[in-house]
Amino acid sequence: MNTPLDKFESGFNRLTAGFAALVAISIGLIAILIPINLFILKTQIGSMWWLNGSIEYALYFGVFAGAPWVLQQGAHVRVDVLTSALPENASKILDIIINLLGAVLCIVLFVYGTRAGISEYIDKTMPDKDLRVANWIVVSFFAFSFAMLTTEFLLRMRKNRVLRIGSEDHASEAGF
Amino acid sequence: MEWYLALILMLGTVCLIMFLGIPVAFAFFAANIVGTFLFINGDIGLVFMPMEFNNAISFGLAPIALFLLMGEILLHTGVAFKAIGAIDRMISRLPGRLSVVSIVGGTVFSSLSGSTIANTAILGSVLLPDMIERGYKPSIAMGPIMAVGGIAMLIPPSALAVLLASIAEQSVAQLLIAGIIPGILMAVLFFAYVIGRCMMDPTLAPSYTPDESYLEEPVSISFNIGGKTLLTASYQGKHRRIVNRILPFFVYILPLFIIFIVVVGSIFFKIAAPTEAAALGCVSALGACYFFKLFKNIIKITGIDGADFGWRAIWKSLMETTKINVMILFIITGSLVFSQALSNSGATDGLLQAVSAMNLDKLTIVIIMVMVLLFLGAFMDQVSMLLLTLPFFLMGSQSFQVVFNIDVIWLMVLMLITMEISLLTPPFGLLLYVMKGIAPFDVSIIEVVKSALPFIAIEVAVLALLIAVPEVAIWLPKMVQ
Repeated sequence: MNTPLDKFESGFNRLTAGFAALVAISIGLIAILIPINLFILKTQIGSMWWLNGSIEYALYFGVFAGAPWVLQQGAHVRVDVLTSALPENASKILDIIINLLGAVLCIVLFVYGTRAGISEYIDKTMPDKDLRVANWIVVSFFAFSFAMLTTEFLLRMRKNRVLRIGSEDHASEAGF
Repeated sequence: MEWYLALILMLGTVCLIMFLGIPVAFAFFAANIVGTFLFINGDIGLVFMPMEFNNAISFGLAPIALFLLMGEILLHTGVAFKAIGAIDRMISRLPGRLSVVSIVGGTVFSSLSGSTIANTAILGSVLLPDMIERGYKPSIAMGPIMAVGGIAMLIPPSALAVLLASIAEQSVAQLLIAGIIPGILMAVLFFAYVIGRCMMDPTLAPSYTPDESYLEEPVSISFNIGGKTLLTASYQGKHRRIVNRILPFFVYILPLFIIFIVVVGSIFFKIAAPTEAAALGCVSALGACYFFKLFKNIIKITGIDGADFGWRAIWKSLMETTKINVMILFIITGSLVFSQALSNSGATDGLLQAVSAMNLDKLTIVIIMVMVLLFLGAFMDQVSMLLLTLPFFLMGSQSFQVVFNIDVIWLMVLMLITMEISLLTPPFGLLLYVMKGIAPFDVSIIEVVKSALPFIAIEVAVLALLIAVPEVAIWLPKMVQ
């Protein structure tokens, strides 16, 4: 079972895991840099003026870079009242519908993200912040993330994976 | 479009897609597409929508990741479990001892992990089998494990409190501080109930003599570096029993208190903003873990195991934080744009005018909000119900909180308690099913509900007290102000 689609899936999984690792590193860096900044501010040595802006960008890129991996892990919170009440066969059909709907939704957001990216690129718009990243880059990453999410939904549909929230599922652990 | 049709359309889209089983964040994104297309400039509005998602993520959301990381570090290094063990050793003579351990340990554990569901699953697996083996009745064994989440949601650093205040653009510091008194009050009532009930009916939790042979052992301490013992000392005096009993407290519990003091103290004394306090909490948690690690090889004390972990545990903490943080921020991103579309549709304003026209007083409005949350919590997780209701309850100038001039900190504390109660309320309360799933014996959902009922009653009593006497929640934050 090593079809081109299997190879693609394996490569895709590595890509999403790689992005998740980058997000994890960024959170670790945030946890270290904020106390350092606080220390140098309190001792009046100086300040990392770029830190708050960088953290905002790290959070933004982190959310959209990490979302496909989180979906892959089944860790996006779901309401499973209906899926858990249905018999197994009906539940599997519902899972296919869920994945299809998810894919369609993500394609729509990918299309509008791409159009927004092109529009921002043509207008050369920049944000009104201390640390500035061109808007087209920011929006293009949004589109890229939804392209990955579309792929993940389609891969899930292919394998008809069951997305149940159970007591041992990551999604339950993810809740408060 | 009439406001009520817009409201039905927007909320209906979210609820319908959510109940189909699509992840909550995607349900919000779907409603955003519908709302933006219909109420914000159609196709052009949708082209501008992606930039709104960028604007939704601000620096104010950073504490969520940091508080989560703090808890994950303590969980994955095993330090939180050591703390529970230390509590167990300290209170060996108390009636219903293991139930009390589950309350104290559960409070520590779920405050640190930020997840009451994970807390119920883990404590249920760790403590419940031991309790049943010792002859504890399920009614006194299961209830405290499920109920401690209510305390954890209030006592800082509560991840849900940070999330609520961040999204509502209110003071995180004030809310964290406001939770302290109601949290302590709830804990005291839980203790009183468990101890009182076990004293009245000792068959609920049969007393037994725990293995305390270790208390008679001499207290020895040695410093070892590179496999060589540099210094060794031993104490065999008459106080060795008490020393053996309280040593784990100093080694395992005190450093965790230091984390609490660093986080809350730095906010309280205005040394740090909540984001900075959360980052300091992460560094302190890491420091505490390495302190515990000293007791594995370098400092050896009888009865103290120390913590054994490596970079792998730290990495796992970071990855778990990433998973939960991305999940939460993804929902927030979707929901913030959703509330904007809701506002543009005129639904928020229309609902508010309709409610205002009914001439309801502030108290009735608060009770209605509490009832709505209790209803939603029967089949929805806390983050989802929070984000679905905040546009009406708390966010912006058209919210109930602003129009009815409700104290925002008080309202947020009420919301936190209500959300926790809703996880325990039948028929769908999530924690009930988690407990049924992990119980090491055949138990019906009715029995699980029965064991939770006294604790639900206590939580409702605290909620009622807070509604009647708001000062219980707002006195401390006002002092700080």
